[in-house]
Amino acid sequence: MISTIVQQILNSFVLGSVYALITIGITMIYGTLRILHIANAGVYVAGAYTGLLFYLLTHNFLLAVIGAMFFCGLIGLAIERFIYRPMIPLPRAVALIASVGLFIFMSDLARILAGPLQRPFPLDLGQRVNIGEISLSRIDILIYVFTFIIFAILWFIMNKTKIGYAIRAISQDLDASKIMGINVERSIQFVFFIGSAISAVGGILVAILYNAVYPSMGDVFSYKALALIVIGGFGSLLGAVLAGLLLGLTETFITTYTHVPLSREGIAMFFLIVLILFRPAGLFGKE
Amino acid sequence: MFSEYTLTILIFVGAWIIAGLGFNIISGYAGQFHLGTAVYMGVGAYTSALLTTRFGFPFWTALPVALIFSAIMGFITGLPALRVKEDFLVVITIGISFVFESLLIYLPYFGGPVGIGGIPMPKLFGTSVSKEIYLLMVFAMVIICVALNYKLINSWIGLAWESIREDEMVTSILGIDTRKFKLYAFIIGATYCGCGGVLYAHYMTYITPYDFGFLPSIYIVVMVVFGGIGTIRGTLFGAIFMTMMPELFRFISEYRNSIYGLLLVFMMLFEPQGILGDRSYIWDKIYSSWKRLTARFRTNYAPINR
Repeated sequence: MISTIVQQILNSFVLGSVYALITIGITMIYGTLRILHIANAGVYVAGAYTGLLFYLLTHNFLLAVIGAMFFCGLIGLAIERFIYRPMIPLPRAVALIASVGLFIFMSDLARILAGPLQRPFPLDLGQRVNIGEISLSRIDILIYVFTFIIFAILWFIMNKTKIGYAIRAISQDLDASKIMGINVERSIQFVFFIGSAISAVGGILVAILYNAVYPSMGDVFSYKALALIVIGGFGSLLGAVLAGLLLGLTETFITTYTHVPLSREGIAMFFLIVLILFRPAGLFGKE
Repeated sequence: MFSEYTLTILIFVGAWIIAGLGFNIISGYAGQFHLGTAVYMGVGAYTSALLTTRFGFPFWTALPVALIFSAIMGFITGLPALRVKEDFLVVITIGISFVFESLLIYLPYFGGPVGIGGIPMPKLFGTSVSKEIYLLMVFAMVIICVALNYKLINSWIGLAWESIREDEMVTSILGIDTRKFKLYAFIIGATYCGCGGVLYAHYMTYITPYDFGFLPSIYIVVMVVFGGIGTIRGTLFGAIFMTMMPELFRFISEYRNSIYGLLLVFMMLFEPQGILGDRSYIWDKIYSSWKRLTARFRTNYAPINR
């Protein structure tokens, strides 16, 4: 009994860490520019496809991940430079609508370029690993390792480097940071690069987890990511990670032990709506 | 008079205009950006479809009941939206649209993923109406909706909405109950969308949950934003243009979503007011030339003493 519960928790954390990876990008961008970057889901699909492409070309998983991260980082830079930057002085709804449009465009572009069919991600890691009664697939372990590495790097950047300080200052007050001599433009570009690159990793990990890459794979996860940034409190990185893990946990337990007539994204959104009613700033956000 | 194909498109135009007006009331006038207005279309369509197929209601009694249900749905979904604004509201409304869609798919009572079929066309004097008559009905409905909308925005409610959109804080300081008027916007907007949904369902004769998911909401947004958000003429123009465009240029329909998406981005980059919105380039031209035209008559006929 205990081992099955531990097993369930470990499985749910696999999902949860993927959620956290996807949410982090949107959260960072929201924290600096206050733009709800819905189009991040498109970046995530692009990440999965370029990851698959690089993997098929090089047969080296690490190289594929790095290539996809770099490519998606560039996409993020382009989005910031050509779409969001001209809209900063305009009302907030403008950037939001543009972001929705960009998301629709990017997921449809993936369909046009790569075809509507589902493609497998042919990464074979071998046997499941058994520890006592608990069994983990090597893909789960890979996801744990990647998530851990990325969060460690991100923590280091945000807390120990100059650019991290700059980003945190910008997320507190953009104009004041400008006055203090922070290169706001470059920091925001950095945020878009890093955020998009992390989403690319999320995309690749989801692709190997379900062994499938398809144009609409971004939809479900992006909506969940939207729910998560609210649950975690807008712009709070730690909140996003914790909310991701929490959502993975609740989803797994609810779908295995109860019969709620909702799909997985339905559950996430339902919790979101209930939460907003009682705590509008999110679980970990400040009022 | 028209071919069946033209009739179908014109009826769709009518249904989308009414739904677009609903979105325009919530997001354009009251300024509460709503990304799930297709939910209200769904409520209207499903209520009317269930009543006519399962309970044998005629169309003319199912329609008001469906409108009331849509209004109730607008009230219920308006409640959480009262507590949040801007980005939070957008996420919430996306959430509502997903909960709604997945409930429709998972509950067998609503027909599951295949939806409901065999919805009858409305009957008039004992016989089912022809498509021409249905088009006339839709057309009449559009006129009623537009007229009511004009009435609304020139009344107290409309003024309160616009003032909430411009500055909610100041509006509440002026002693206007912003929560009440926001709820009104949700209820009235939802009723409009529900009406569009009913018209759509009874023409299509079968509906699925996917007709009222996230993408249809986006279509409504694209129409209204393209035409000019916050104006009735913009909504009319947007709905007509956006429904006709994929039909007029057949090669587009394959890439419909990407073109809609790109269009949204470019509109936001170069003309955030929409083609015919207030202060947009084209509308300014039309308006100033209209002013010049009328000014010429005025100088001819008006008294000179001013």
